[in-house]
Amino acid sequence: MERDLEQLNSALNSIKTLRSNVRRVFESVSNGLRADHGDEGKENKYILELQELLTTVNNDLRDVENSVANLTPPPGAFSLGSTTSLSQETTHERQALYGQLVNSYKWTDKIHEYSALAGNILSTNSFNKTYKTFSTTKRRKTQTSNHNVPSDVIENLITSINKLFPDVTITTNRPFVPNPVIQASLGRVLKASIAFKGLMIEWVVVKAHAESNDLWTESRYKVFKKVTENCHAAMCHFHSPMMPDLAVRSFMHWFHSYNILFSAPCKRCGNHLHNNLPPTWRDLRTLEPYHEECK
Amino acid sequence: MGVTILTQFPTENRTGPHTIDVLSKRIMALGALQQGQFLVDCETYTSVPQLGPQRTVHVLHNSEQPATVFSLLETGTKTIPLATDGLFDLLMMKMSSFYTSKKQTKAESKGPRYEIGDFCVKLGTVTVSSNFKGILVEVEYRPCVVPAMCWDLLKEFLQGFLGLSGPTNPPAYLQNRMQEIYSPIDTIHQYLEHFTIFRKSPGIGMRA
Amino acid sequence: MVQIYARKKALAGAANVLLAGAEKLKTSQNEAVRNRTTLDFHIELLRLRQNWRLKKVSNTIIGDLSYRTAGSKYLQTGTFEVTKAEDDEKASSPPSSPLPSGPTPAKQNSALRVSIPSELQGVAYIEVLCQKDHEDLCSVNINLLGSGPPPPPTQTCIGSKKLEAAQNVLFCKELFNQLAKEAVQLQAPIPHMVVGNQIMATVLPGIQLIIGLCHSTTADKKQQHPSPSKSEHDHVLEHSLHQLLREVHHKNTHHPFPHPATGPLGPSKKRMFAGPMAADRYELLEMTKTDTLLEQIVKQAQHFIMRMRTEYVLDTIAKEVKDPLISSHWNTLNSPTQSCVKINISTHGYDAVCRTPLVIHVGEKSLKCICRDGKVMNMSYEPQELRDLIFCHINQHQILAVQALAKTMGWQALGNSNHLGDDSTGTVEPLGNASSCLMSSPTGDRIIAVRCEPHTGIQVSVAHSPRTDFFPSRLVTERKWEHLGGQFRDVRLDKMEGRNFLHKMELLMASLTSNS
Repeated sequence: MERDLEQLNSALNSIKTLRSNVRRVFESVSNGLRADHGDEGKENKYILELQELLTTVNNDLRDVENSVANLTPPPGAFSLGSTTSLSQETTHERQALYGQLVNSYKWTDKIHEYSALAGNILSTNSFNKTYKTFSTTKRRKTQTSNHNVPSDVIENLITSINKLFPDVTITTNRPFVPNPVIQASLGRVLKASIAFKGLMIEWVVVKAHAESNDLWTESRYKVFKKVTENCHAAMCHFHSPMMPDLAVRSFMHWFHSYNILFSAPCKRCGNHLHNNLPPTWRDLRTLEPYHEECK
Repeated sequence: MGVTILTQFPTENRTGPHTIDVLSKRIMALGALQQGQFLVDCETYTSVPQLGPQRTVHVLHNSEQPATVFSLLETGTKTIPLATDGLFDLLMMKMSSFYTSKKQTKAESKGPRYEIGDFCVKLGTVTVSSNFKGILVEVEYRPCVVPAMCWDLLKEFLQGFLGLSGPTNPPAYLQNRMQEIYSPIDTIHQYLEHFTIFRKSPGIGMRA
Repeated sequence: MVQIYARKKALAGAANVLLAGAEKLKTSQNEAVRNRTTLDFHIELLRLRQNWRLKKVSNTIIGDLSYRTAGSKYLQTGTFEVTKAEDDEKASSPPSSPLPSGPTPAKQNSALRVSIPSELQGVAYIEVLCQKDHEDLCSVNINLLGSGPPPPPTQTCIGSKKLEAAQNVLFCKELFNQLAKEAVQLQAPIPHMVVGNQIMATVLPGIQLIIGLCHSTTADKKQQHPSPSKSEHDHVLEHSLHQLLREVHHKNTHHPFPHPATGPLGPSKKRMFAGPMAADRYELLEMTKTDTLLEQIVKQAQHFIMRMRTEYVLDTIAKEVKDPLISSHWNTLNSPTQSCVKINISTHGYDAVCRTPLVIHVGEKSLKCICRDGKVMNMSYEPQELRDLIFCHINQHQILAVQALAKTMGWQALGNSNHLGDDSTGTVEPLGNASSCLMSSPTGDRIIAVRCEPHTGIQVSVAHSPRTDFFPSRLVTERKWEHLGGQFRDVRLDKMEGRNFLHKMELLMASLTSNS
């Protein structure tokens, strides 16, 4: 649709230029020899000028033909519904109705467009003050608990995350069935042990690949210690009681941005190192890398 | 286990100890803490003619991996690396009738070892059979295992610390191994390359 | 007549035969009874044999109840003797039985007698107390007999209970011996004290961990134990001490096989791989580090106290502070020396507007708090620091929430500060920090200022500009100067309608907006 409009526009434009150039030809013809052609060889000059104008017209004509050839003819007749009968109206005072109808149609169309835009903007700035809805008219949505969920729900979530990122490999072990502990290794950069309570992330520890999988000892490297802390912050940030699976998904999305932990420079200062650490902070929305001090 | 870059630091008419002094002042100013000394030594054994075409075994020890003996066997066509535990030294002694060592080629690099953040910096004075040959600076970034991922970061660190004499390209040995996982034997390879160069070069003439 | 006599004789003969037969039967029956007792002895011995190590040395049966086969290296022997219980001995069975109930009635119908060396008789338990200035914080009685695994079905054997008690005594003795040895050897900043049957270790300043070995040989001694009401049974510490020594035992028996077979026995599998896998100095150093039992239990006790303090602080704050709701979630997975609590600060009815989450890691001697923006705060063991921090965050929450609310109301947040307290912005708070913010109405004619202080609470002031009434004075001659902003006037929040602070603010903003 967008493309069609563009082509139509360009076709109309080329017609406009063609018409103006044809006009110039006629102008030139009607004026005949002018004073600015000088004295000597004025006929020749005049003929040259005319020739030039005609070539432009020729070119423009070719343009028009090209752009018209590009146009796609509208598929069949527009169905205007019962409004078609309006054109057959014979009484004089009712013939103006069609114009009014078109105007009002345009108006409703715009309202549609604007309200959609406004809806988008307003949905990001919610006016809801609580997640609890007291309305009884709606069918009550079954309250999802994020602590106590059937194990297959968690299983599905983990496998879907596993599929989401090709460079994150997840191995699961579950000491207690509904509370799995997963090992997510992110490329060749790092690995994280994540402990869940139902669908809630409870504990994260980030380590180098060569280190043990133990959940309670922190990494020996400063950079991974810092990343672990940041993971806890992100875990806090993304935690959402209403949409627990979304929280986990967005956490993993954020976590995935560490795949360039060592190779990406800081977005703010442009350096790799600050305080002998690479940029360990990832912006929670844009996922851009920052140093701890630059964020 | 991290990626290590080994680079030679020009002495520029300074004595070895003086250069080390300058460098250690710089790294201390950056906030590094000295964590003991380090030593990398290399001994080269050549096979006796009875064994056929000559083969060379380089036996290296790195104080960073104190329980390990590294050896590189050069058969002429390829190099076979081996990491073994301490008993390998005894094995080499048993094989002294097949592989003889040239004592005058024993090379070593030793000096102070610093830790700064996750980096480990070693300023080594290289001696070949106790003749001073030059300065080798080793910088290891320990959390990362793939050279390609952290080369830019290491370059920034090296240039911040060595100034213009810092390397601009990865060491030749690493250049076609940038995407592979780095292991301690790669460090040993780098050391051996430098030692081989130092052995061929004429001594600077100063006793370290 | 002769016939009668002859019949009588024959009858007497037959009777004799019958009597003799009856006599024989009686004796054989007696024999059988006696045989059965010996049979009982053998069966019981067999049952005993299934659960305990027994062997025959010349004419006596000697058993061993020590943990030596399970890896213990404790020197004291745990031999006992099994003899056949004779009837008379049974009757004069000495009432020295250490257990007040249980074996004594059972003993009457047993054919076994188990004699245990006197030093293993009685009941022993290890008492763990966390003491704060001679006032018990908690006390844990570790009585292995009570907390041990459920007795096996063959427990009917009378010797077993007695033997288990003796084994328990031996275990407690070994444990205590080990702890006392470590206490003397360890170089702690505040030296551990070993006095008699007690070890005293300072866990945190002012708090001592007292581990005592209680060994009583008479039944009534048990009642003398001070204040059983105070002894809150803590399963974590109880389990730990129990487990730690068992772990040592396990390690003693489970050596990895040397590889190659001629290699030295002893180094762990990890250490053996260290050479070929090129382990670095740090990893090798880590392998040599092992904590002694005492160090481990001290760490666990430290963590236990830290966790208790944190729980207490959070609970009291949640009780004290009603307006923002403070909910805490303790992690399900914890290690003996590490746990984690998530805190959520939110306001009832406004949970979608603003939420302040915090994570607090409780370690052995310190606390670490992480906020959602990645800020990390390390705190010491003093609970007051945590209290201050939470209050500081409550204030910040109120200020942030009121600004988020202002946004939904169409008001504009002009500025905020989370750390007031220098000369220009008011007095320094004795605890925590004051925070404040300024907001203006959509048309800009009214300004609300909010200030949160941990002590005095929340102050709200409102300024109108221009004021609704204007009287020209000598200084302010024209009405336009009133646009510069007027004086702030305090709002008496406590007189206002509304469920909580945010509700009040919402009503206040709504009323100020509708006026303009």
